[in-house]
This record gives sequence, C-alpha cells and structure tokens, in this order.
Amino acid sequence: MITFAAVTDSAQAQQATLAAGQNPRFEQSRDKYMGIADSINSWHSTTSQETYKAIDYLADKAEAREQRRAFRRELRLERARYGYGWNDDYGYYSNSNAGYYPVGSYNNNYGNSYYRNGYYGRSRSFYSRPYRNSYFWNSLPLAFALGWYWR
Amino acid sequence: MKKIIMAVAFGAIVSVISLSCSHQVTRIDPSEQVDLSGRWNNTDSRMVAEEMIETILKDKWVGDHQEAHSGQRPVVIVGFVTNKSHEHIEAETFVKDVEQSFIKSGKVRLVQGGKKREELRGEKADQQTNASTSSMKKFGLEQGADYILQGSINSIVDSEKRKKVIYYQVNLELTNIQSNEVVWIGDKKIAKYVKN
Repeated sequence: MITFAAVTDSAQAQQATLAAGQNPRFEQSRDKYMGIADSINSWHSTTSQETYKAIDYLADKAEAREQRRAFRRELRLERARYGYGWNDDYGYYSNSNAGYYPVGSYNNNYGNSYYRNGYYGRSRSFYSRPYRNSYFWNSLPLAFALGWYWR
Repeated sequence: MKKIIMAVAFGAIVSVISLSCSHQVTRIDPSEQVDLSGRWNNTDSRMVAEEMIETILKDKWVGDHQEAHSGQRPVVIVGFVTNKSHEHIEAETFVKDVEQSFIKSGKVRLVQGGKKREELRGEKADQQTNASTSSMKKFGLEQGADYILQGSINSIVDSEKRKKVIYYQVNLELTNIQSNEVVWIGDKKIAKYVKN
C-alpha cells in the first residue's frame, strides 16, 4: 500500500510539473512500456541470434551427402523391420520352382533360410499378401451383366 | 641377433602407430592467430574488442556528457546485440572486453542489466526479510543509466565452388536513453578469403 501510494504520488508529481519540452501525453508511452519492461530488459547483455543460411558449395555438398547417408541408414532399418517387399506376381521372386532362385539349393549350401522357398527376402514382408486372382474379380461385374442380359 | 632386430622393429612400429594415432593437445597463447576453418574465431573477437575499446573512450561523447552534467561521468548499461550473420556468434566475447575497459579507464561508469540485475534484485528482496536492518540494502537506490550500448553483427558471403570471401561487419552504438540520440557508433570490418 505504501509502495503503491509512493509510485502514485511520484507519477502525479511528474504529471503536475512537466519537464521543459516534455510531451504531455508521455503517460501513454509510459503505461505501455511499464507492462512489458521486464520482458524487454531480460534481453540485456544477450546476443539475439537471427542468422541466415549462406550459399556454400562445399557445405551444401557435405549436407547432401549426410542426408543420403541418413536416408540409406533409415532404409536399412526399415528393411530390417519389415523386409524388402519385392514379392510380385510374375514369378521372378515368387514361390516357384521354376524361378531364378530354385528351391532348396541355397538352403543346403548356406544352411540358412535367407533364400528359402525362392523368395529373395523375408516371408513376413509388409507387402507380402496372399496371391489374389485379380482378373477373376475384375471381370465379375461384366459376367454378371452378360448373364443378366441372356437370362 | 635376429630376436633383437625383431624386438627393435616391433617397438619402432608400435611407437610410430601410437604417435600417429594419438590425440595431442597443445596450449597456445589466446592472442595467437590460428585460422582453421575460416569461420568466426577468437582472433576475430579480439580484433573487434581492440578496435571498439580504441575508439569508444577517446570519442567526444564522454567530454560532452561531462560538460552537460557538471563533470559527472556517464553511466552505461549494455543492451543486446543482434547477430544477423550466417554463423552463430556470441557477442559477449568482445562486449565484455569493452565493459572491462570502461571500468579500468575510470572514465565511464557501468551498471548491471538483464538477468544479472534480476538476480541482484532477488538478493535485495531476500535481505528485506532475512538480513539485519543495518546491513540490508534498500530498493529504489539503483544508479540509472544514461546510455545504452547496443550492436549488430552482419555478414556477406561470396562463394564459388571451393573459394569464398567472408565479410563481417560488427557495429556497436551508444544511445542516450533520455533523448534517444545516438552519440557514438563504432564498427569493425573483417574480410577473409577461404580456399578449400
């Protein structure tokens, strides 16, 4: 209470006797900055970092190289988790004895299942789905329409 | 004989490998100029500090203030420096040298600002309740600053493949807190040619 009264008294005293040339509307500015003084004054003796990225050929090359390495590492990690996802329906990597990697030979030679069943990859691949005859299902509406027409 | 030769050869190989792979630290003088990467380093900071100290105390703003205020020394508070360059630069490395020159010369008084001032006020507040009445410090008796020291750091980079020229410009300015008048501006320009 005493502090508030003292501040009010000094403010009123300043208002009553303006300094030479002092703007009578100084209170607007004072009131505005009294509220934000603490946040502004916390910047004293600090360096505000407002840096920009300069064009540097070698630095950009090194950065691109690091990004490529990071990408390849992430790719290896994802492949370790989910497999290679190279299964397709054309038989090159499919489960077929007539495939490029015949069944059995690699199991016997290497003693592991890395090329088991002709798959070049893990059988628990994210993209490994049961074989689906898409031609049958795609032509079903046409067959239904023809059957309905010739009923 | 053969065993001795083998032992000496083995020892030589081990010592060469250990020397070539070993981590070596050598202490050097802080004023020694060692430019490794071409980026901002301690030599740049020292050059800026020396240039600013050289000019700030010899400029006429000190005399003008003393004339206008009956011989009283000006009081300065340090504001913030804006780094608009392309690197992280901490201005305190050279601003603190300027502050030190104020104190050593005795021509300019310095007051604390920022977080350190908050700490002082916190200590003062603690003394109101915990310190003896004879030793506790009072609020409302701080020395108000007459001038504020602010600054900016800018840079221009011109690069072509493995060559580049880096230009830094550091500006410090003193502004009258009452009148907003800038009474002194100091600058230091540094240019480097870097070839990789």
